[in-house]
Amino acid sequence: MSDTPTAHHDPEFELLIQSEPGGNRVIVRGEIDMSTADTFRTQLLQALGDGEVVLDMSELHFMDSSGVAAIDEVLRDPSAEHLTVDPHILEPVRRILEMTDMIDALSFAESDRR
Amino acid sequence: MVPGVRFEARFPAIPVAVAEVRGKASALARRCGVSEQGAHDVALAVSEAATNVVIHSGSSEIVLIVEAHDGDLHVIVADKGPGLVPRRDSPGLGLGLPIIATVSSSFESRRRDGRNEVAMVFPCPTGGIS
Repeated sequence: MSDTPTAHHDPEFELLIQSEPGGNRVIVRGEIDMSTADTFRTQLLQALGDGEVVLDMSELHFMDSSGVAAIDEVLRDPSAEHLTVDPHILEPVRRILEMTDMIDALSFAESDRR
Repeated sequence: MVPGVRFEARFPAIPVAVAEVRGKASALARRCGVSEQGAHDVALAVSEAATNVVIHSGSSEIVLIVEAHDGDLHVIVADKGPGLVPRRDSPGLGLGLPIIATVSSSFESRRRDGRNEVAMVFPCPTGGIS
């Protein structure tokens, strides 16, 4: 994986993959809804194919049930054993993860912000 | 929003329009004096309702209607499709309506005047436009 972040751009969504010791950090920014959830799911699964991933949603401002469904699908993939989530999550996103009980299905990484 | 004033807009029933629909609704909610969380609740509920229109309705349009009266913000997401049709290949988890029920004060899914409506009620602290 390159040291240079790779990016996918949609109007209100950005996903970056940053190489870190021991794996990759997948940073999602903006909003996840039905127009961006597929990209999110596909890129996250692709990153998991390369090994350990920390999912960083600290700059994600909005997620609806399309995003929850995308995470659910990722968690059903065997590669999800390599997935941990950065605990820094903005309140609107945390709220829907709690509302749908998805928060309980996630494995959180130690808080080690850069 | 001035009590009695009614906002109505039409959007194409396509995935990329969902963000615009919820953005408009939450902007109007802010003008009702709601908190950031309140505005997010409106955005979330409208996003769910508009997503259902795109996935299930067969309609070419999403209609957003917002009005404030009796101290509440009334938000309707409507379409002119034949009615919500379950899809075997639906990409969702069926969470849309439960989420709307959680974040709104009340909601009703109904067919009225030849169109399907999800009618949601939220607090409007200022009772009208700020």
